Amino acid sequence: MAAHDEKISQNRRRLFKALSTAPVVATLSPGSALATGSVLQCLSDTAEPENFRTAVDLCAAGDPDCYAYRSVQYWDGGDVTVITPSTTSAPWPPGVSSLAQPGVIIVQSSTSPGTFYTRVDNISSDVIVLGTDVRLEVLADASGDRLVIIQDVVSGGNTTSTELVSFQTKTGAGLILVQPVDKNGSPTSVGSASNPPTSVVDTQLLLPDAHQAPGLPGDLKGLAATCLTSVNQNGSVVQNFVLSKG
Amino acid sequence: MTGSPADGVAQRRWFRSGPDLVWERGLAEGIVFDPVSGETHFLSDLPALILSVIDEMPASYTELVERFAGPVDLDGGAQSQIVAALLFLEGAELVESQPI
Repeated sequence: MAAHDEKISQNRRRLFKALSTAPVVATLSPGSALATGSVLQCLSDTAEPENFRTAVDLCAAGDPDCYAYRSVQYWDGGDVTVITPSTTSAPWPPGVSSLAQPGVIIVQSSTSPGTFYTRVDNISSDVIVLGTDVRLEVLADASGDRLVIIQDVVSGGNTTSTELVSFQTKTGAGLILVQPVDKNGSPTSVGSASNPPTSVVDTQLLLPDAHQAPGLPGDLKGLAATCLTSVNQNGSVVQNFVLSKG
Repeated sequence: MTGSPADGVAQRRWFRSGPDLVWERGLAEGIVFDPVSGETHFLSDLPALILSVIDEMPASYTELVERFAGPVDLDGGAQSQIVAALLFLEGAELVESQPI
């Protein structure tokens, strides 16, 4: 009973505190953008899911282990994301170079089987994070101040999408583990860009639970997110997001 | 005592129907996604608190306040704020109401 009374007392204080604050309420509609960053911001943008879909898992809906891995980064002040161009037969889409600016992550993709990535600067170690349909390699260069994430998504044996993301890290970097859900709030799968399942409601993906993948540096608690412009394999500008320490 | 809001509100029961709301608790309090509308709401403390109570179980105004905070005296201004928050939540289609 004492515990119940204490809970009521705490709630009463919360109520009075809530009554003392300004009733600021905002609503973010699907497809709209919000000036301040939020994980939900990018994923509510209609441009985001295409990239999201390309980047993540192909596991079945309802699978409790169906998680999507996304690259995340936080940096200090003017730290600049490194753009890693491809030297494969798949050229960068026109205009990509103009997007090379601080804070931008460029995603390199190719639909040509056999096309692969170009490793950068003194890569010394490979870590396979995912197997089966999605292979994600996290590589650190010899100096330890750069993390490279290379992700290959293979769908149906006829499409290979390669993403190459490279960025400088001063204070750490990592991956987040997320579970996509559909408009009904149910866990769902995310298909490849080349063959999206019709059941995916791609404008309403959420990150209801985001936490740091194991084995990577940095404490990523208290995250805020920033939408970034990126480019998909067709040369279309899409939005990506980078989490930063709040 | 929980005070008496306007009769119209006092005589209604507030509830939610449809798919569960998805609360984003990792970044900040009060961020909730409504699967029905596809909207993400950034709620301030009061509507977030009220919505969380109604999300658990339907409640009238009196039940809502007492369930959360026990017997408590609220002045007219506080009552008005709660009523306004309830009406906002209803307007945002996050809750519904029906006569008791």
